[in-house]
Amino acid sequence: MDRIDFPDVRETLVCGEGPGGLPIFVVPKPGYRKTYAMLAVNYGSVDVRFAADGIWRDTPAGVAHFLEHKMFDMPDGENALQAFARTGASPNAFTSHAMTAYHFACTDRFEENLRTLLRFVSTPYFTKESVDKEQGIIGQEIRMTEDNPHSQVYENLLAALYGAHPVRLPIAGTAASIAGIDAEMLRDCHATFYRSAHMCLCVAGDVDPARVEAVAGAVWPAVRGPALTRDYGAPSWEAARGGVSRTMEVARPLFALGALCAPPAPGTETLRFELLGELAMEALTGPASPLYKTLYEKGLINRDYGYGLFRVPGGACLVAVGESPEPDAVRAALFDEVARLGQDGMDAARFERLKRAALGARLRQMDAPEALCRLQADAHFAHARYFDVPALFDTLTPDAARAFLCEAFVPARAALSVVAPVAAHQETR
Amino acid sequence: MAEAVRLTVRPGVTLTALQTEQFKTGVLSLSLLRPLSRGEAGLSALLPQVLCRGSRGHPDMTRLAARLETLYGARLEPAVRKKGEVQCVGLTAGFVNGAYLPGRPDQLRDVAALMGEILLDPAGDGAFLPAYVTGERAVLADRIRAERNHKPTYAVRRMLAHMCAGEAYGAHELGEAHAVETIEPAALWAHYRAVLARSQVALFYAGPRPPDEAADIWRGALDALPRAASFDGADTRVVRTAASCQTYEERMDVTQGTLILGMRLGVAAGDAQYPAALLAAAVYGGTTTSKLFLGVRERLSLAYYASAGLEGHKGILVVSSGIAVKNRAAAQEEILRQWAAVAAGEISDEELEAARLSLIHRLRAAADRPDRLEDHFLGQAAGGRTEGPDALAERLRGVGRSEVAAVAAGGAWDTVYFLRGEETDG
Repeated sequence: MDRIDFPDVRETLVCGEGPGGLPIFVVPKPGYRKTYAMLAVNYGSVDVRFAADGIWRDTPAGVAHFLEHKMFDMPDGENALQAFARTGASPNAFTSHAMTAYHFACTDRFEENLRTLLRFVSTPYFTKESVDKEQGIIGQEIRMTEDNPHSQVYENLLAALYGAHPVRLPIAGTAASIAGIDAEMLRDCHATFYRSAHMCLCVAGDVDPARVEAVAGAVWPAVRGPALTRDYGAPSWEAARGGVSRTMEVARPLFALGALCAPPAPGTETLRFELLGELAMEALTGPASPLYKTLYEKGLINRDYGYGLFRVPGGACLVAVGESPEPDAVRAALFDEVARLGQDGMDAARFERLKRAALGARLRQMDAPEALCRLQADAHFAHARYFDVPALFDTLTPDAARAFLCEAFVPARAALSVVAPVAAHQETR
Repeated sequence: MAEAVRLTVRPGVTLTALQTEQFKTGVLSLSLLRPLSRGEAGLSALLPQVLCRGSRGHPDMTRLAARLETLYGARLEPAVRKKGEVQCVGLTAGFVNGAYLPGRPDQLRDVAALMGEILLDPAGDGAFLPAYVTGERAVLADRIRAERNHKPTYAVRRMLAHMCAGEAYGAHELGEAHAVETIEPAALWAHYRAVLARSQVALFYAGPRPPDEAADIWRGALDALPRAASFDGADTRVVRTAASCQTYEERMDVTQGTLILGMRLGVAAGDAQYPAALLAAAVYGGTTTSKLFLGVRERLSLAYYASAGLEGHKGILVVSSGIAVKNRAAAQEEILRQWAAVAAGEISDEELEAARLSLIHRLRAAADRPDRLEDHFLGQAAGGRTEGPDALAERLRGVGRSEVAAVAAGGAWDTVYFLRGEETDG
């Protein structure tokens, strides 16, 4: 395996390869009791239309997430969760727009748990009965998301921004879309995506990297997988709709504002793009910005206000989310401030301070094995290495951040999503 | 990992310090321990919010935020937490240890000094700036009202408020929205001066510096902290049984039902049977192999989630589930049935060991998370205890099935709360 040292951040990345070319990344964390492992699939909710070895397929929204739910079933009647339970490990899984990942943390019997992880993710076992039953469970999960105003305001924003890109669809799909999912479709998608070429294994903890490679070598199937082409619809740099609003059981209006950016080239450029977008938003509306102070003092935002860069394959946008009595006023203030920065430029000393703060935040993040594995998997699927991020700070300038903001914050590229309160409710005994 | 050390820094001020080289991050916290009460909760909760608007040295949010950026993006936030019937009000901070930064700055000293400055030297001259108080009271009231946005946690809160209506525990640690909205600057200032002097203070540090060095740094940062001749006591009264079980229902414009049940378990964190109580809760609903997960979710598909947790300080078991409204009766019946099985000792070896190993894993893994250790030791300080997670993990090893069943059999259901939409087929 290859050891790459990153002396600036005092971290090491050990890179290896499993059967079929499965990429393996180990971040040794001496002294840690917990070992964390994540097996990630480059398959998210946006991958609904794709060609495997040249044959195109269209799938309903929610297959990646449905598959995640069903993977834990094993042919011997056992559920993989039970195997983890015997060691005290805590397993879980998630599906995002861009990725499906299976992971566990353990303080004991790491190799046994790693074998369980590799085995169940490589073993598809779907019956009609179990798929039918899962429709009910996922149906409840979808309803739960539908009752969550924070999810709704964000989902509605993405649907307003993107007319064609499947990021506009909910990650779990809808009651109607999941009704079209059956065992055969799950087997088919598993055989397409759950293959070495489209996955990676990330481990962080006090482990011997050679043992990780050895366990993977003994358990993981040596199948490279088909060549994939993914279709995210015709690229557009204009918002499909400028605004969307609905009512829900909330105390005050929630808002999510988005402004589209052209997605970055793959490789380290993606990391640079993400960093620059984040710093640009920090400069525009972070807690030390004049805009933040104005909005906060006027009561237009509170401490739940958040902002950043959102990126999926084939799409990216700058976002600001929060609670506000007047979301339109927040939108107007953000646009005005971008215009001002566009004219006056960005304070260079302040930009240096922001870089320092962003570096500190990343160093703190490196204490968390969970975060490291996810960030490395994300970076790998973008053809980059996460520990290259700190060295990128020197390449970022205030002018580049200013240009980033000015390109995105154009009315035709932006959308505002609002969830407004309904009337009062009653309680009975 | 070194053991946590508890030191007295000043009268009524104790520091829990954990010397470790494991992390790039250092963690500090400072909490005034207040007896939770409906009358005082809002005032105390508002304090750290107003203090974090600015100190005399950094008189507004912009300058305070700029200072934190200079400290390599240190995180410094107001914190209001409820540990049983103790309201812990103060500040938490996380920062990169100086050894990882160019020029090796003394980040610990700088961040502790800033925390001391924020606590003891607020912007304004012998009074809070009125704009900060009126601004923050509105923000806090909104935040309390916004809790209903997230139905699963809101429903747990409502259940506990009903269950403990006559107890301090029933009070919200942030206060009540309408009361918070009317807090005047002068009243808040008077409260501030009184609680600064009259509160016991719990400090925490995890990082590479030795405990006495951390204590010296804190001592310097809190030099101006006034100390009264005696301090307000703050502890938790555990109600060990329930006379009858009450049911409450609330309607909202939602599609899913949220069913929450509360039980008086009769055992709390200070008791010898506490490890058995933790195990009972874990076997019942604490893991993905628990009875609730397998019975209610997997086998009967009655819920998207169904789990149970123990509020250890108060000895209350809380069951949470997200269900379709039409399944309410069946779900509740199954939830009660599964607990009866735990109380009857119907626990397989596999279930018991899985629950035990899962708890031990979580407690031992806390050593890798300084923020989690901070929260653990704050709970210990609030309860007048010093036990670390490792010691509790050890106590779990010897607990047998009969002890788990005995604790479960002593529990009494107290309150059922159901949050639902209008439709019956939801």
